[in-house]
Amino acid sequence: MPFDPVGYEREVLRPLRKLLGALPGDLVTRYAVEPGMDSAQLEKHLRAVRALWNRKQANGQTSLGRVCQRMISADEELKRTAGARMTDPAWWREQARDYEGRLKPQHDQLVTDMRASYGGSGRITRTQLEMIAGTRAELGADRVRRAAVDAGLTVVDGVDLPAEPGLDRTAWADLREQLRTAHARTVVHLLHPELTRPFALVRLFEVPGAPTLRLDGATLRRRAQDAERTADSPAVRATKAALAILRTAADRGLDLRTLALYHVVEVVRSMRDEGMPEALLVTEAAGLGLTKDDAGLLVASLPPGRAAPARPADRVRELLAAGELAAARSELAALATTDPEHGAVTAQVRAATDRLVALLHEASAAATAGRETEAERLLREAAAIDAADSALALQLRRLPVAAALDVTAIPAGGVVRLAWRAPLSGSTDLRYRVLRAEDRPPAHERDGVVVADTAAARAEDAPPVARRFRYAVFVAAPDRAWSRPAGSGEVELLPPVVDVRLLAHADHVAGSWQAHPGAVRIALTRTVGRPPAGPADGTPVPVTGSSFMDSDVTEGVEHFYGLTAVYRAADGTERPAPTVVESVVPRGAATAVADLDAVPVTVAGRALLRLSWSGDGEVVLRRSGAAPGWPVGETVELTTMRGYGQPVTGHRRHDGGRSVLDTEAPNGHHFYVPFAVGGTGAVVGRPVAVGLSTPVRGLRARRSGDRVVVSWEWPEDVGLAEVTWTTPEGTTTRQLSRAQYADGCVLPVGAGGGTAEVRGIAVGPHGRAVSLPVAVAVSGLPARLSYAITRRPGLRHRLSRERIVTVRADRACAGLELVVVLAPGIVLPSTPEQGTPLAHWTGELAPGGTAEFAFELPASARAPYWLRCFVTRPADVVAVDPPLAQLKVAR
Amino acid sequence: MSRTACPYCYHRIASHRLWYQCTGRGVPGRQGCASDVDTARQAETGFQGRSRPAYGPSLPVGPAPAKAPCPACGGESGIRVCPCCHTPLSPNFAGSRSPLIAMVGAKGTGKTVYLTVLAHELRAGLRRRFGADVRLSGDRQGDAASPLAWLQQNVDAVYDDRRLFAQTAQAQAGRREPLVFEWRQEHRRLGRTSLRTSYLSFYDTAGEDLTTQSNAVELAYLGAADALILLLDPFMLPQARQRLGLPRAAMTSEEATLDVVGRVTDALRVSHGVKPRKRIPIPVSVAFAKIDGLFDLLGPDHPLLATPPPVPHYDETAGQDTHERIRALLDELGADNLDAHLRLNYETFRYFGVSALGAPPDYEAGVVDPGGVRPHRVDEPLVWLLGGFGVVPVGRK
Repeated sequence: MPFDPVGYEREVLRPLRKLLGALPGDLVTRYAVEPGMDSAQLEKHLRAVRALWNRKQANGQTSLGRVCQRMISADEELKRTAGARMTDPAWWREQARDYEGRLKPQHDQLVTDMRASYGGSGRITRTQLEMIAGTRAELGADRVRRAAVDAGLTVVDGVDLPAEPGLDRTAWADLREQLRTAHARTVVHLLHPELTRPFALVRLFEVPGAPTLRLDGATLRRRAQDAERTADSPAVRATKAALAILRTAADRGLDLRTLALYHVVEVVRSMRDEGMPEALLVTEAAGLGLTKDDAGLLVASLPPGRAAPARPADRVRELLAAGELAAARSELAALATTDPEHGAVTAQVRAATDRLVALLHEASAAATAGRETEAERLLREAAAIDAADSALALQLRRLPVAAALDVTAIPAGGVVRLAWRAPLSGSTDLRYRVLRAEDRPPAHERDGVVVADTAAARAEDAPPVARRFRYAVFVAAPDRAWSRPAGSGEVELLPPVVDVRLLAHADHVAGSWQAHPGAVRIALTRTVGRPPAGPADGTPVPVTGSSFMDSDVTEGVEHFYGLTAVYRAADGTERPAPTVVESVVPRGAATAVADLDAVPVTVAGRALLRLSWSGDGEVVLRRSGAAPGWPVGETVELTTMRGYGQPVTGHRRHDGGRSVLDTEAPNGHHFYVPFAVGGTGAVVGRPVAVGLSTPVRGLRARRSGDRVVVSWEWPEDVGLAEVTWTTPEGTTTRQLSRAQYADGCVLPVGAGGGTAEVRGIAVGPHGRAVSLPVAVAVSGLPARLSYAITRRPGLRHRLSRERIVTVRADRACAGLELVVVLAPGIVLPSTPEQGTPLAHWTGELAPGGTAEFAFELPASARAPYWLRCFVTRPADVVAVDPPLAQLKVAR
Repeated sequence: MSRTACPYCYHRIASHRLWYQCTGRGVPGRQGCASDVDTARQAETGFQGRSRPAYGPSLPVGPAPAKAPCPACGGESGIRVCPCCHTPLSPNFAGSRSPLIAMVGAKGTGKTVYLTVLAHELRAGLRRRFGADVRLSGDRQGDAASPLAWLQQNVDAVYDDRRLFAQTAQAQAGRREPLVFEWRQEHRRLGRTSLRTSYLSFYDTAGEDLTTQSNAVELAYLGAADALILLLDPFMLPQARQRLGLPRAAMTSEEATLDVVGRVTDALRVSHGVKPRKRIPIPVSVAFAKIDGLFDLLGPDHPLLATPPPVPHYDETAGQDTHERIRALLDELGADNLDAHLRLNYETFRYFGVSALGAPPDYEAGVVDPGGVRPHRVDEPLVWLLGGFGVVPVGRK
């Protein structure tokens, strides 16, 4: 059988992670050796196991890695002692026999213990098995599993049983009580009273032989309808009450199977806590209707509980702590008076009873005084003492919900906006009813006009105008009575005029507005140079419908118009709305700006956009990402103009007969529109489209030889760069994309150096946006002097020690000093000092000019050695070596 | 017949006798084989996935045909796999040359960054330069640990996120999924043009693998390597460190370069069975990484800063020049003992000065230079080796 590394890791290695240093004593298990393996198979198998250990141990940071390190360490020791015998099947059989003999008593004891502990249910969970294996490293997980099998146990995967019912404690206690009264053993039997077969519930609800039975909302509704049709009796009433609790729970998303399972678990666990043996627990679980398998699984999966029943006095205390006063009283009644703790426990029960009575009294007083919040708190506190008291639950249901808080009603335009705060209550799912009544507050939840039934803490109402109303908010919760009203102050809706538009000309002003349909008239007054002090202040101006024309105006002076909508109240009196005031300056029409110019500039290190235009009239500049929708020369209202883009800010000055404004300009494409403001409104000027992108950052240039690599950091919005390379020879411009930039921007550099200027370019739907340039200077290339060291041509010079140095300069070099050195060894000399000078030459060279000089190799020169020429003066001339093989003299 | 190393399990295999993997199609009347965990593949490569069974050629000798029927289900298959580890190989692998190029270097040398940039160059500039078809081969069915995913993740990190990597995790018993590239190129011989496919396998070896004698010896893949790229960190040369004034974060290891090279030498001697009186026969590219850190020291007119023109062959003359200049630089930096060690232990080696990033990163923040990644001569060590294997032509000025 081939080695299964995955299974080996799961079965052997992983269980060892929790053991501190211990390894399975059973070598057969440790190496997963199968009986019947021959030598070749053993060798292959051991190699595979060790390979796995090696792979896993590499990550020594993990616990699995550490286990493998221990395995390898033990293996090394074993290899030292057993050596080649490890591939001998007889050796493994011997090891297995030794181990069996050594551990037989321990194994037998474990079988006995397991049978006693888990034999009742006949099952043991994998977790329990691992826990036992964790304490018996010498046996190993496999041996512990075998002991379980020998004990007649079935290894199962345990299930996580619900630890909470999902209902609040009072509702849960109520449900248990109702189930008892309705003679339903479990929730399952409540929903399926006709059910006689055993059912599965632990992992899923399933009735063998009746696959259509469900525990869901539909079943619950059907069962409730059946209960309604059944003749009344105490059991039927209890059934209905229990179904109502389940309906509330199901509406909140609670799973009915989980609730049913919790009920069964609670019953079985209480028996287990009483000391009932496992075998009987399984019988009891089956008695509740579970299948035998489910009953065994449930008992095996029960969380650890008390090992022994508690003392009677402790039991009383536990019941008190659990809020079960009635049960505590019963337990106390059964407690022998001779019990040494009888007195103390009796006092505790009495104190709890007294506290309960006091709380109920206080709650009653608070409810009578209208302090529902406090009453609810007291009743919930009482329920925590005696959760099973159904009278308490009833009292809580009858208690009205506390009233809403801080109710406000504010007129806003043609509506009234209402808002409030939720009351302090333990109930969830609060709902609100808002009512209004004229000249009085609504007294109860049906008194007045219903404005809203809502779960939100706000509402909106459009009541008749010029009437005085009061609003009230009522709160309700499921199974609870309506709250008292929480009222607002008096509200009278008087909507003012809206959408007022004034159009000024040099000799008249025209205006228009919109008024609420309930307005009986609009009062319009005019003041000059100041706003009106009230609705009656100023000169009345006649109106026609919802507009006016005022010709009694003075050009250049600000005129204020006050508009007051007037309504008629129920008693016939007039009720004025708040006055709306707008102003305007009568003047002539403006002329469109047709020559707006935009130039990116740098001012004191800041990148700015310089906007300029001719004329000195009032001009408003606005900027937007979208082109203006009006043609040049069209007049728009000032409010319309303000709706276009954003204002362009900056200090305006005059320069050379033009108005100039420097402004911070955002990156991207924008339209700059000049609006010339005149009496008829704003006249749209010719827009200018400007595309700006972010300049590149961190511009650097690194020269290497006759080329320079220019690099920079790309801003996020820039996808292209324009590089302008200016040298004494001329200027070249090239564009690079990010992809082309992979190795930086490479430029040729000459003697004069140059300046690289880079602009970032962002390409968008409106075209290209170009940044301000960033520049970097590059130093020039030094003069380059190439040379060659050769022997004179001809056969007769083949053995000559004379060498000829030919030098050539790429540009004029004056005051040149050269030295030729000989450096013994295999390392190329980097400086003249690393060799012996053989020749010196001084002179000058014209551009492209050559010179020759000769020198003689010393007779002592022995290969390997190097000959190399260096420029010692001037500093701005560098020697360019020929291929180095020509300079190296090897053996 | 050629015996070449499997790029996945490093065993020498006869490339003309590759095995087959069942397609699972079966034949009429017989159901195809099901996928299961291949224990041989799992043991050799650590591959945890399921695959269909592998089987050998029906004839015990001679070249294996392109297709063969599955002995279990009868279905014919042309999927070729390694006879040892059963990992699928490219159809072009049969009969191809497959030099295994191992890459080693001590902790913090920048192997992962170098391999990432080199792999990126292989698929971009180098491919164009030689007119070759280069593609990543042997993606492990796209699982999480696939080389393609690994490479893509690294390329994204270096090129896009401009992040440096954390230390690579230690190899598991010398096993790591290699990056295998298939290099396909036209060759002219005796006036005839033919297509030749070569496989280049690279391993990203954790530097820590070499920090103890035993681990270095255990690096099994060194034994299978046909060539070696030995990546060294010039910052570990004491004199370079003193003259450069590097930040503390740039010192990723305190270990002497000679010690690292010495361990590699020992490992190669053991794994290749080289006698003490002989030199190690496999070619070694000795690449000094992070050469950009020395740019200021060398000056702008030093030939090592120059970028050779991208000619479609390996320039042997320029390569020798670089070799001699690095040797001179080592001598200048007091590391002549390293040169002596290499000369006396390796038959063929060549120095290179490379920079994967092109500019010193911010070691403290672990990020690449804001100017981006501008590799400097990263491909030269590989191209020299490829020239030696005859994969690319070699020329002289």
